[in-house]
Amino acid sequence: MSTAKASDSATIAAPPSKVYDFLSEAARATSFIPGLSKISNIKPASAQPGQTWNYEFDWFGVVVKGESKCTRSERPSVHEFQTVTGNTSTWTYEINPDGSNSKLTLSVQYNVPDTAVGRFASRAVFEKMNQDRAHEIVKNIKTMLES
Amino acid sequence: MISLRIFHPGRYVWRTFRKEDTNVLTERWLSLRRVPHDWNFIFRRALDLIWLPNLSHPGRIELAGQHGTITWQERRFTTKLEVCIEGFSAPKRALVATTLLKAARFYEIEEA
Repeated sequence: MSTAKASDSATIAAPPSKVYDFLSEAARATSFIPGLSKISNIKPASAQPGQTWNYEFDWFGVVVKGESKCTRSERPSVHEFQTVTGNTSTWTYEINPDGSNSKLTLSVQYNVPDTAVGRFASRAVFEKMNQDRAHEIVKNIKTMLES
Repeated sequence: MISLRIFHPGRYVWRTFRKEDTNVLTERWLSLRRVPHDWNFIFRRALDLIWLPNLSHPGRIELAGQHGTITWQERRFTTKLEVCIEGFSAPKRALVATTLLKAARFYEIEEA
């Protein structure tokens, strides 16, 4: 198994604190992450290092269930968590002021399971799909906060 | 755990109709269930989570600011639901409807 990275950025017409508050609440992620079906068992309720939750992700028919753990929570600039079971990955949201707006950058470092590469024909196709998904997540956060 | 999904676990809610007008997205869903769900609770929780103020009535939820309604009618083994999202941008209307559909599909599984 090898690793890969997907990332995307956007400027959002909202202050960093609002962007941070929106994306750092674990249960809200189903509203902007395509394929994320369910978040449950969030402990404790507020974002902080050590917070854990269960997730269920439907990735083009491949279902990944597991547990996530918040690893960094620095309001309003960084929110980071890891999927510690299922398919392991590290998700980092960085929010920087950009005038009266925010620049949001999402980076996802993930393992590439051999089974997924087989299913999606090649590593390049698999990585492209994940890159597209990172773009969609950032675009969805922008949409939810701006319009 | 990684597995292949052949049948969707939330298959008891189907989207049966979708229409996008200039300023309104309308979707109709059909839910098969043994007993009626607490749709008011399910949808209000989802709307609160995405910061959309709302007002509940029996069989209906109103989105504040004239942003639409969610209505449902119970039958013996089914519920007919209609979601109308008004205003916002077209992508946001679609995201709100998808968020509500995920809530409708996965609520019972989560609570089981």
